[in-house]
Amino acid sequence: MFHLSKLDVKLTRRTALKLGALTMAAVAVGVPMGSSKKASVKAAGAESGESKQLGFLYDQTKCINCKMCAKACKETNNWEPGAEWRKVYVAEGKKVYLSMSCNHCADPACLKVCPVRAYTKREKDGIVQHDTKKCVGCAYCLYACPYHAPQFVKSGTGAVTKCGFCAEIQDQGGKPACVSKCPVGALTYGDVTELRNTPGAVEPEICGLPPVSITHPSLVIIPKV
Amino acid sequence: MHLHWGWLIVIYLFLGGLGAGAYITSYAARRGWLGNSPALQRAGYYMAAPIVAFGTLLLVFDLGQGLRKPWLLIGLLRNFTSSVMTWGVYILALFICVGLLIAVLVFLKKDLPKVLEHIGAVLALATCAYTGLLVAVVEAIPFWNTYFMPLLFVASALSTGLS
Repeated sequence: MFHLSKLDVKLTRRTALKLGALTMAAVAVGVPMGSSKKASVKAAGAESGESKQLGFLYDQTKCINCKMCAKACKETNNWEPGAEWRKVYVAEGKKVYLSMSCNHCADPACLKVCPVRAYTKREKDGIVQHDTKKCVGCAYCLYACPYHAPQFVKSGTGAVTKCGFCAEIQDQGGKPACVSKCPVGALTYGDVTELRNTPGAVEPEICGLPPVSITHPSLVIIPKV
Repeated sequence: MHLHWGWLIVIYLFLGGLGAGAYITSYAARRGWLGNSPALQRAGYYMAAPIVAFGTLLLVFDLGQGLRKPWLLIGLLRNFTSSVMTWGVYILALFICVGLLIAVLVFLKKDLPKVLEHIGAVLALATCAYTGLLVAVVEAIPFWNTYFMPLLFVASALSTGLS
């Protein structure tokens, strides 16, 4: 047909069809793979009876940027150097703040992508927990989380850590450290379905946060208008 | 945003695509799609497994715990239902095994079972495509979140392997 230097390349219709079929096969394998993943995770998340989803309620109108929430978290949970489980973000040029840790999402991306199943979501209260003992430090969850909740210091422990909603403390009847130490009551927590009914509360899609449709975070914000 | 996947991953991506593309090149050559060169038919089959194996080794080095707690690595096979990274581990492991087998058979000048070649070709395509899928399912990064990614990785690997 045509000459390509020393090669006699016979690009016939047959060859083109075969290549096309091979490509289509690759796509046919990849696309259903992608959509089947979403289905299986949602099925696994189906709740039964006595379960609720805990979440944070953050009141921007009350927050004074004292960062006691972050300090309390750090001391209670012994952050490794370089890891920040809870951060207080400050808007550029405005006195508007955002204190955020992990949003214990209804459809957590971290859990979905983790190859070693280091993440689990508690049935009774929806807390998303990470098991450091299983973590191989692949950092996939860091890319997957829209809220930068997982913390990873390669030169430190080389394993991921993140906010666990102070699950152990809560199991003994206490409150998360951040909530306990907030001097103005800007940070509270509870059943997120009830929190969403708080007057003035909105979905956390403000302040440049990503669409809630990605992972359905259990976070409610009362915005400073 | 911090970039956690550094240059070790970049080199792995290149080698993974290269090895898989090389395999497919030999596969295509043996079917007469790329002319009539016996050297082309062998070269890719020799190169594929060692290149991909070396790339995979780099992946292990990149893991935060890869060298500290290597026994944890078997856990990478756990999340078959929802983690593309787990699929990748299976695909790489199988491709390297099949690739090594084929390389040995070619070296010993034995006949290659067609079924084995076909399996190798599917695994090679999967090696090219899965990394694209890995980044594509990350909805948090809209630039990655597209079906175009797997296609891009396959195209890139094929062209690299051919050269």
